[in-house]
Amino acid sequence: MNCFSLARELFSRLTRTEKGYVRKYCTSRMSVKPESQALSEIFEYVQNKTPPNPQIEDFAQETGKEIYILILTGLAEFNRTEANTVRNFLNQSEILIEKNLNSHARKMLIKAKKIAAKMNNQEFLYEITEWEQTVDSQAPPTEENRKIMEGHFKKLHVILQLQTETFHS
Amino acid sequence: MKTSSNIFELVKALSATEIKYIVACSKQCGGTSNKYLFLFHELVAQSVYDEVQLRKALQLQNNPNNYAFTKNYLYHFILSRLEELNNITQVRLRRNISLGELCMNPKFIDLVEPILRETYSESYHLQLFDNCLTIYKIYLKSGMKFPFDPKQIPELLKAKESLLHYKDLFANVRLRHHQTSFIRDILKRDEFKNVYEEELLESDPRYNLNHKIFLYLAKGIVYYANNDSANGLRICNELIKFWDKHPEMIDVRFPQYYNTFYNKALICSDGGNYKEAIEIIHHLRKKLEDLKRGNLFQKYMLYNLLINVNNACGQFEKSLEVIDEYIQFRSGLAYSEDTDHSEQQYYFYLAKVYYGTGKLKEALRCINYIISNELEYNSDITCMTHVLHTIILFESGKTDVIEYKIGNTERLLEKRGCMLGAVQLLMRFHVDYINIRPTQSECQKMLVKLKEGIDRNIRMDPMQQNLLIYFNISAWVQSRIENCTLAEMLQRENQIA
Repeated sequence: MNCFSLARELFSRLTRTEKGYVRKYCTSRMSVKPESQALSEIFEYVQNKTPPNPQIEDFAQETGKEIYILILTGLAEFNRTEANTVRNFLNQSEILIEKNLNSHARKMLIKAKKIAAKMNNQEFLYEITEWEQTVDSQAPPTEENRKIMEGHFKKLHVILQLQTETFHS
Repeated sequence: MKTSSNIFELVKALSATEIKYIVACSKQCGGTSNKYLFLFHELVAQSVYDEVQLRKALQLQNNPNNYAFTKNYLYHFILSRLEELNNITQVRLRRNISLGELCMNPKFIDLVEPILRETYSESYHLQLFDNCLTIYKIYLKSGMKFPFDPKQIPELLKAKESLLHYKDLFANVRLRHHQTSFIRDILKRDEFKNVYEEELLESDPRYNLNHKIFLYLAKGIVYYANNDSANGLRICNELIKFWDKHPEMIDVRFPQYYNTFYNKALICSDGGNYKEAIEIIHHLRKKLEDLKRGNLFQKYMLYNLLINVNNACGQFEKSLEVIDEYIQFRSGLAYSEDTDHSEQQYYFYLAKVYYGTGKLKEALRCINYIISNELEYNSDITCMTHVLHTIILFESGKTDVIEYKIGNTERLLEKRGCMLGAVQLLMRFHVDYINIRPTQSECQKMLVKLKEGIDRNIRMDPMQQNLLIYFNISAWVQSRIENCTLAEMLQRENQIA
């Protein structure tokens, strides 16, 4: 199945409320793109189940993936889970670190850690600790910072041990 | 109550494309009249965070809670939009995993599973094993058949354990490479003894790409700290070969890619190979632009090195070309990176650029900033700051100021333990010049004698050689003898066309 058909099939399986949310989500995201007009037209075909106009069929196949991903993103947003929230925090921390806003990133990581600990998700806890270590590694090489780093690595070893045990069991 | 300027810092860190996207998205929700968009525009326009002014503009002077709410909403709105816009590999893969998690709902399994499979393959290829393990768990939880070999999983866990070992080693080396005893001990460890050839055999390239990066970088730092530039350079070259062979890893491990080239440029520059150092720096600058990567600190450090290398080989004009960007990066640095050391170094480099391009007034302003704020973290720079100060005064014909200050300067340098032979000779020259008021030919003779004295000191004392890294006084004296500029002299010495 090509992406256009996937997008169409996916949309047809949504509930009424999901459709409403996804429609709004996709429309707003498409409108900021340069090819918004054409995208909206294809999105209409995705919703209406009518075959696309033969003149724009090639374009429909090309942009199918973009619309398919947009629908999925809207759907994931609608069915937001704790895991998605943690991933969002991790993404935002990475972006903030990239922008050299390390203290901001640290706050995001604390929020993510709170949820990950509640979920008892070792993969998230491992990744969060790795990012904490990355943020702290940029501090000057003082004895105090060395101890902080040692603490991070100890924690990473413990989490990895737990992770290994979970997978083996 | 303490006001937080986080929102301001975030807005100021946005690029023009990001600002455009955020504005376009916000217009979709609430039109142009929404408060947070108004706040966003106000923040973009401000050069210093002024909360009182912002509350006034928003007409929320008497409603601090509402202001805090708007600020908080805008902060998270910006972050969410940045996340949508960002295409860093790991961010994109995490986003895909979130989409793949929709497989938990049986009605979407057949439509969403391809994304999960694709993401697993890409993560496996890039050796991002945490993603693989998460995806494996999603397959298990949703009851779908895992489409890859499950025997991979224990291998991935083993690879993670090994990577953690090398990351630990790298972090340890980074934090302790200035301790001689640490370097001595670590050189005896297995990783640093005769394993060089073994590493190149790539025992299992499916799992060890990331390990290699961290091990090589750790070794490079140790060799650099041990003044073993030949091995340091060798390790950098091996890493460059690695990046050429695995270009897909550059985005995933960008900080390590940056470090490889930065370290090589540093080694080349320390070894006097300025031409190659400049080439490497330009390559890295281009890569930062092409990939739209690199934070302010990385950019600042790169420009810091570029200006230092340009200054060392007399290309002051080239330094002047990038000085605006250098100043801009510096001004955006976070508080923790704005240390006494970096401040002293920054103003000294600026002073050298201005001096080398004949802008003596600006050079003097930077020198005075260092002296009046007592920025004395690095005693070599402190010493050379005073040397450059007297040289600038000498060249501006302000011998009366030298006469007035030289006693103090000499005492200060002696107190700081910086009054080394070559510096002492230079100070004596200034005193003699003021006392004798020599003719041109007498002055030439004095300069020739000074040059011989300085060169003798430098030859015999490696500590004094190190001083030349900061300011080449020998080249300066020679430039006075030959009646040319310091830039011309340094370029000739370093065979820069």
